[in-house]
Amino acid sequence: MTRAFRPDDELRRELLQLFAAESRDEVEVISSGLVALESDAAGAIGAGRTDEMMRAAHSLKGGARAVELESVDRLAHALEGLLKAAGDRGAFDGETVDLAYRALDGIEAIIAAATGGPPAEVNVTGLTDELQTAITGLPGERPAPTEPSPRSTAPAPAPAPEALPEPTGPSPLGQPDATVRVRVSKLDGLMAAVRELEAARVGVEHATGILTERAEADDLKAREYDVRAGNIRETTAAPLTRLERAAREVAGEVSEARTVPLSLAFDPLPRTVRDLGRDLGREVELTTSGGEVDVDRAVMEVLRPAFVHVIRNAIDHGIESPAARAAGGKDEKGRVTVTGRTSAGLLEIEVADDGAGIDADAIRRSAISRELITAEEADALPYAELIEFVTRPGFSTRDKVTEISGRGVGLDAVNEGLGSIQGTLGITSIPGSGSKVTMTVPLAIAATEVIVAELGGLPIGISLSDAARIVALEGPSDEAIEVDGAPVPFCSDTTLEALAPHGRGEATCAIAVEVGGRRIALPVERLRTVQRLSTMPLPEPLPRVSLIRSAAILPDGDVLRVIEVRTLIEDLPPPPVVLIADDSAAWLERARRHLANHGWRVETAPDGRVALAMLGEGNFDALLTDVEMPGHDGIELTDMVRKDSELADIRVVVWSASAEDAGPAALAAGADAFLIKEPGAEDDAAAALRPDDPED
Amino acid sequence: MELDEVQVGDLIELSPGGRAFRQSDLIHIVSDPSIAPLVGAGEAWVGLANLSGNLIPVADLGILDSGRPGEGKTMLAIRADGVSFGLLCEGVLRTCASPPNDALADEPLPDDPAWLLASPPGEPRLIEPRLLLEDPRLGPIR
Repeated sequence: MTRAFRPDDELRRELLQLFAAESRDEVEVISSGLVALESDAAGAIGAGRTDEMMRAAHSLKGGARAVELESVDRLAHALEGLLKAAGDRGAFDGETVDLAYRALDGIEAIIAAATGGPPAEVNVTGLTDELQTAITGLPGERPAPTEPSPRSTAPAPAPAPEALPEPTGPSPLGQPDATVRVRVSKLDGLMAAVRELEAARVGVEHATGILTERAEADDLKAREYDVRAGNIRETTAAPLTRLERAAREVAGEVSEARTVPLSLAFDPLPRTVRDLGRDLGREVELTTSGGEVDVDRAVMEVLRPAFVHVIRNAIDHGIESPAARAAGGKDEKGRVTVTGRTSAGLLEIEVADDGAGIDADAIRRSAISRELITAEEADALPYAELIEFVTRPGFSTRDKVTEISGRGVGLDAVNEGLGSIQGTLGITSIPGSGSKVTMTVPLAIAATEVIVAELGGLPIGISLSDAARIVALEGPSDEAIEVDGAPVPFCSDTTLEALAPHGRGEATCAIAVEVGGRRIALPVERLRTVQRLSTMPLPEPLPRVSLIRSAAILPDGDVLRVIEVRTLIEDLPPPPVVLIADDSAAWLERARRHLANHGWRVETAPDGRVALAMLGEGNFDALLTDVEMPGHDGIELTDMVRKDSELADIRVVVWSASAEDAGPAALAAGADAFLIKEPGAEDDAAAALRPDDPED
Repeated sequence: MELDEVQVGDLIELSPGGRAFRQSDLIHIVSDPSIAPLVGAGEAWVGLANLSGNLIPVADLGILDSGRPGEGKTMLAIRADGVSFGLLCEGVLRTCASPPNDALADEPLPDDPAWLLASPPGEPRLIEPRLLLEDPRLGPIR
């Protein structure tokens, strides 16, 4: 007779934590699959998606058994049956999906309670019965009766899938694609050990160098020492090279192990949008892009809840009811777009909605009632500054607390979370047209190529992707260097003193860095190397330091500070601001990138009505507009700009791909230039927007 | 020092005397550490150091204690509230034992920082690292 294995309390706690982490992924798979299948009226999604969801439910069941969570076992088993039956009969209607979600919510609540969360109030038997009833009540051919879950004590049997093996044995770790879960703190510890290993290698190499130099310098027994020195070099060279290679490989593998695709942060969003839309009676379409970008797990931990907060805000506060949208001339279905893109070692994520925008009056009222500002101050504050109140701790425009919002916990929590990883939060909004929340975070902690230079006798780093050129300095330099025929000014003395507070030596070269097409040069005493390094955010409990983005430990053990080049650029006067109005997303993005690379700060508008509202609120130097757009067309827009005394002086360039004969009308309306959209037209637009710029 | 003169205790008193840490709060003591300077983080933060492959921020105990930069070249690596940080001080004087629980402590002065705990006359004053992290000269805590 054998005794059943019973994990002790400590082991069970550890197993539960592992299961909780694992279950999040499985729940996500099922959750995102449910949203996709519910909206797939045409049946375009293949059976593979249902199989994937069933596998996830099956894994939940197996994991629950391993940690002896019988109620999760029962729910997951019944849910798996529902998924199979609904998949077989193509019956993922709203009712079935709602029930499946309730089962998932129950599973999550039970797991959370088992891992130290609040007690779960889940009627497991009732829910299991409901699932079973739904399975037998689904339209179409009924499934053959199957065995109940082997561990289940539920009275109602639920069918088990036939093709999937029971998860009774250990994972096949011998297989190439097998995975294990590792805590991030373990990876951090491993990485620290790798850095120590590398520092030790450099130390041994250095010691060997000193030893052989001493031997070579000794005249008395020169020949004998020469031989020994040669032996030392020969015998240590190969092991040191192997050690270096191994340390580099381990560091690379650990860095890779820390990254996950951004799409993981998108996974919970479809359900959030669906549920909120249903609760609030709103139709919302969610679009995501950029999910293929790899980000560090520490960044992901912050982004996932941040996305949910921002999306909830967009739907609850932004998107109007279908009737209100129709009355306002909008499509009844609201749109929320999440876009991830990388630039200069940073990940920028925009969450944009086409809703009502942020209600300035509601913010004024709330800020005054909370005594944050006086009524006079509120009236004097421009809209752009007023909307920043929504990131204040505890700030809410809602009088009543609801399930969705009103507690004042939301964007301030997002702001704080982003701050913890050196990220930033930006909000823009156009009343009546929508809002845009921009989150900028470091790609991380992952290995990046860094230029290692010396300033004040200490190493200083600049991400290779930020550097435009390295220029040798011949003697003391004046106020600028020349790059590509254009002058690039040096950083201010204040900045240099902050980077090297104990004094600087003579600069021998300068690193020109570039952000958004604007360049500034950092003079350094010497260049050491370009190196692939694992950079990390500044450690807690340090507050944010604007001039330093991250840090790394060099192979010799020295600490490298990596400069935040955006702060360097702040030494320059502010860039000109252009608004691009275009209903073609492709041209909008093309022009945005191009003009940003030519030193413009770029805002975008998808139609003439939004563009006019933005021009009224913002402080723009130029407008680049398409001709044919919804709202106002480009000619009308130009005409209105020229007739507005506040806007009359801005430079206006009109371009079109199809309305080639619109040139005379555009110029007659007051445009400074008219261009045909064709490959390379962005160059012409950049030149036409700033005709006096030598770069253009 | 003769072996029989060694005092064993749970505290470590700092040079030139009068301030102490619990040994349990200490991770390492590092002589003349290499510190990469940081400006703009908060008055008392001086930079970053490498502690066994981990980056830690380093503050100047002189600024925190007297408002003036110290000239110490010894770094105490401290762990409190789940974070590690370094404190530059002049050095370590000795180990000593905590005063008995029933010993009467001096009244703290009005300007004393909250992290400097009261102690009986003649005994070093204990620095509480958790409270030290709340000192405004370390800037807003993330």
